[in-house]
Amino acid sequence: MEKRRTLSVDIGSQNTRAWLFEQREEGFALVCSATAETTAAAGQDLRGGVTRALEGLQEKSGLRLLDLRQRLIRDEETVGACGLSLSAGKPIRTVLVGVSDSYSLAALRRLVSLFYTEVVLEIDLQDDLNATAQLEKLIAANADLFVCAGGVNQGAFRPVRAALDNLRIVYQSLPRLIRPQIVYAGNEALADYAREELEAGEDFHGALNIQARADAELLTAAWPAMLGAFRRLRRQQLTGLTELEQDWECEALPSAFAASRIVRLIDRMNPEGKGAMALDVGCSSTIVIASRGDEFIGAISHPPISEQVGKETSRYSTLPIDAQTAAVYMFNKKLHPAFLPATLEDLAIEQAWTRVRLHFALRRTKELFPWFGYDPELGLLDPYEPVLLSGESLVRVPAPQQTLLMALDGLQPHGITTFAMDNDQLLAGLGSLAEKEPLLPVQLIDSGVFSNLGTVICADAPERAARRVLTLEIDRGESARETLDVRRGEVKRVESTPPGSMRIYLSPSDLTDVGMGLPGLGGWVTVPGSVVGTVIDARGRPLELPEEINKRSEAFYNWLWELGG
Amino acid sequence: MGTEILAIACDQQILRSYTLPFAGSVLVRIGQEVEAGEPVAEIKMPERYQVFDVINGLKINPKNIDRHIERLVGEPIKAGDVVAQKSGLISRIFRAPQDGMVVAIRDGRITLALGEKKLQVLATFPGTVVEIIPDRGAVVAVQGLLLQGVWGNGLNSSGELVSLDAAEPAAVKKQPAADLQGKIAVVEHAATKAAFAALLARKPAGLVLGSVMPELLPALEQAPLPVMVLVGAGEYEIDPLSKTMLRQMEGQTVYLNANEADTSELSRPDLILPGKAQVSPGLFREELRLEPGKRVRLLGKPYTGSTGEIIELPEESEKFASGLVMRPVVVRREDDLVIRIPRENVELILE
Repeated sequence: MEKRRTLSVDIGSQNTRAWLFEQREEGFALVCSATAETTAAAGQDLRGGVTRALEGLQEKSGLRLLDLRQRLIRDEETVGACGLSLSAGKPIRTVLVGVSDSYSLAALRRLVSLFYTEVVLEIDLQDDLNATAQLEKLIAANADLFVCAGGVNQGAFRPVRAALDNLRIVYQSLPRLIRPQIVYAGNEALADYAREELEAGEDFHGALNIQARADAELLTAAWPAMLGAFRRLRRQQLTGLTELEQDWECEALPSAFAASRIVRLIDRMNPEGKGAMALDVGCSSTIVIASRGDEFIGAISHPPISEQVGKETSRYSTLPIDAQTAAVYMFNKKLHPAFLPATLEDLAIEQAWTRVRLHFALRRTKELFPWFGYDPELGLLDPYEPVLLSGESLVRVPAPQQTLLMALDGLQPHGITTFAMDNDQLLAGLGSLAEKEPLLPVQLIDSGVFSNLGTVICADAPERAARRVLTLEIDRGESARETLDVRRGEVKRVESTPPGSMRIYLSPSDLTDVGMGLPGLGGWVTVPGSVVGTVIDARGRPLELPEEINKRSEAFYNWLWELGG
Repeated sequence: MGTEILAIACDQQILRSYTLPFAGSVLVRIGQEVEAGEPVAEIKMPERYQVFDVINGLKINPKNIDRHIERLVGEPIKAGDVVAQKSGLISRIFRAPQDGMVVAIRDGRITLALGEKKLQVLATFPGTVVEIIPDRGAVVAVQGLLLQGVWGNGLNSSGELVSLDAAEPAAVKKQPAADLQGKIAVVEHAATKAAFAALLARKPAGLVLGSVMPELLPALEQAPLPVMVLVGAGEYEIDPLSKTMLRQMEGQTVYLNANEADTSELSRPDLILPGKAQVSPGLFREELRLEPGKRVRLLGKPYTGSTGEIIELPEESEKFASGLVMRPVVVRREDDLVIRIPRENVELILE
C-alpha cells in the first residue's frame, strides 16, 4: 500500500512545530515531529523557521522533504496535503461596534475571542456618543480590524447605518500600510448596503447575522468572515505567509481556532458524553476551549503581572515563596519568554503561576460566556470529560503528577472526569488538517495520540478535616479486592494496573458528593489505564489552603507526594 | 527556541528604522546626516473631524436635502465657508469652523476633515541615512558604543551620562534639587517608590537602572522621562561588561532610547554613544549563535546578571535541579566559577 503522507505546521510566537503523518494499514499515524525557532519578527521571513522545522522532520524521518531550493517537495510519494496554523504575530487591534453592551457587543467579544485579537475600542451605539465623537474615537483606535454587528434581521438599522458611514470614512481616509479589515455580522437587511457603502473590496468580510433573532446567537455564522479577515491581516503583517500558503495550497488558521476544531470533534465522537475541554497554558497566553453539543466556548486570555498575581502565586507554591519573589520571577519571565526553570524554587513558582493563570483564564472565559459553568470560588461546575491539557507550562513538566495536580488546582472540577495530555502539542496541528483529511484526526485520537493522564474523582463533603468521606473498593480483576478510605482534605491515588481498565466502587458518606447525581450516592466506575492512575480529591470546594506559608507549601508538597510526583 | 542577543558593544554599527504607520513623505535622502530629534518622515493628517446632521441641524425636509448642501465631497473649504444652508425668513447656515475638506455626504450628514496636524517620526540619535523606505521612512546608521537593556518605558532623550552612588537618592530625599537636569543618570538599583521619587525630583533627562523591584514598575511606566532597566526585576548588580561600557560613556553625551522591549520586533531599549568613525555598512552581518568562546549573560537565580564565557556546548540534554531535562551550556563566569545552565537561560552578548 502506498503511504500517503500529510504535513502540518503550527507557527507560534516562540516555536514553529511541524508534524509528519503517514497513512498506514491501520490508519493514519504520527511519524515524527520537530521544532524550530519561529522567524516572524520584524524583517524576518517566517519560512526560515518553517524550513528549519522541516529539516528536523527530514532528519528524524529519514525522508527527503525539501528540494535543493529548500522548498517542500509536494508529490504523492512525499507530502500530499498540508495544514498550517498560526499564533505568531502581534495581537490584532480590534474595534467592536454593536447596538448594545449586553447584547451585540457581548456577542462580538465572544466572536473575536479565539482570533488573537486585542479589543482596543468598543462602540455601543446606544451610548449618547455623537457622530463626530464616534468618528474621532474610531480614527484614534488605529485598529487593524473592525467588527460590526447589531440588530435582528429586518430590525431597526439607523444607528448601525450611521456607524457604517463612519467606518467608511476611517477605511477610506487613513493611508494605513496594513489595510484594516471589516467584518459585518449584523442585520442582514443592511449587509449589501454595508458592502457597497464601505467600498472596501476584499477587505470587507460579510457574514450572516450572528443574532438573527433576539433569542438566538450563532457565532459560527461569522467564523468564515473572521477567518478571512485574520488571513488577510496576517498576510500583510508576516513576511512569507502568502508564499507559504500558495506553495502548500492551504490557508492558515488561527492556532486556537484550529485546536477548537479538535475539541469539537472529540465532543462529537462521544455524543452521549459530558462535553470536551482543552486548556493550553503557554508563556504569553492561556486558552480555554469547551464544547458540548451545540454549545461552544473558547477564549484566549493574557494574564496580567501584578502584586496581586504575585500574592496569589505565592499561595499556590509547593515551596514557601513570598509574593515579591514570585513577582520577580514572573516579570523576568515576561522579559525572557523562553526562560525555563532550572531550580526547584523557579519550578515551584512557575507551577504555582500556572494554577493562577488557569484561574484567571477561567474567570475571563466566564465573563465572556456567562453561561460557562465556572465559579471562581467553587471551581468548574460543569462536567467535561476529557479535559485535554496542552501548552509548554502544562506539558514541559518534570513529572506527569505535577501536571495533573496543577490542572486539578487550577480547574477544581467536581465529580468524575479524565485528564488527557497533548504531549506533542498536536491540537492545532490536527485541527488545521481536519478539513483536508477528516479521517486523520479521528484515527490519531483513536490511536491514543493524547495520553490518558488520569481519572479524577472529586469527593466534596461539608465535613470537618480528617473525617472519612469516601470508601473505595478496587477491583483489578483479581480475586481479592482492595479497599481505601479517603478523608476530608486528602488527595489519594490508586495506581493503574496495566494493561486495561479496572473497576472502582465508590461508597461515599451521606454528605459526600462524588458526581453521581446526589450526595451519598455511589456506584461502580470503570477507569481506564492511565499514566498517573485514579486520583481521589477530597479537599472539597472551595479549596481550603492553610494560611501559614510553610504549612501551605507543606500541604501542596504532601498532595504531590501522594500522587507519586 | 532561539537565543536572545544582547548588545554590549564598543564599536558597533547601529542601524535603526524610523517608519510611519501610514504612507507619508520621507524627508531625508541617502547619505544625509541627521541629528537626534530631526524628522525623518511625516504625514499630514486632519487635526479633527466634524459630522454635521444637516436634516436636524437646519430643520429641513430630507427630500430636499440636495438643495441645501453647498459643497461636494472632496472639495476643500476655508474657515467660514458656507457648507449647507437653509434660506428663508429665518435662515440657518452651517459654516466650516476651520480650513479643511468635505470627506463624506451621506444620509443627510456632512463629514468634514478640519485643520492639519503633522505626524512625524524623529531620529533618536545622530547618524547617517543609509536606506530609504519608500513612503514610510528611512534607516539611520551610526558607528558607536551600544548598550542594550531589558526593559524600557517607550520614551527617549539625550544628555551627559553620570553615575550615581546607590546611597545618593536617599541622601537627597529631604532636599530635592534639580542637580541632574539635562543628564542621563545611572543607578545600580531602585528598591522603593520613595527612592525613585527622590531620583525624579532631581529632574534627570533619563534614567538607567541596573535592576528594580517589580512593585516599582507602574511608577517607571508612568515616569515622564525615559527609563531603561539593564538587568531585570529583583536586586542584582549591573554585570561587569555593562559596567565597563557605562564607564566609557560617562561624562559624554549619550542617547537613551528606552524603547519597550518587544521580542516579536527583536527590539530592546538601548543607550548609544555615537563614535567618530565613519559608518561602514557591511554586506552581511555575522549570524550569532552559541559557541565556545562567546560571552553570555545568565538568567535565573542565583546567576541573574552575571556574565561568563562559553566553554562547552554538550549535545546531550541533562536533568537540572528542577527535574526538567534541557540542553545545557557550560559557562566559566568572570569569577572562574564553571556552571551548567539551560541554553534558554542565557543571553548571548554581541560585543
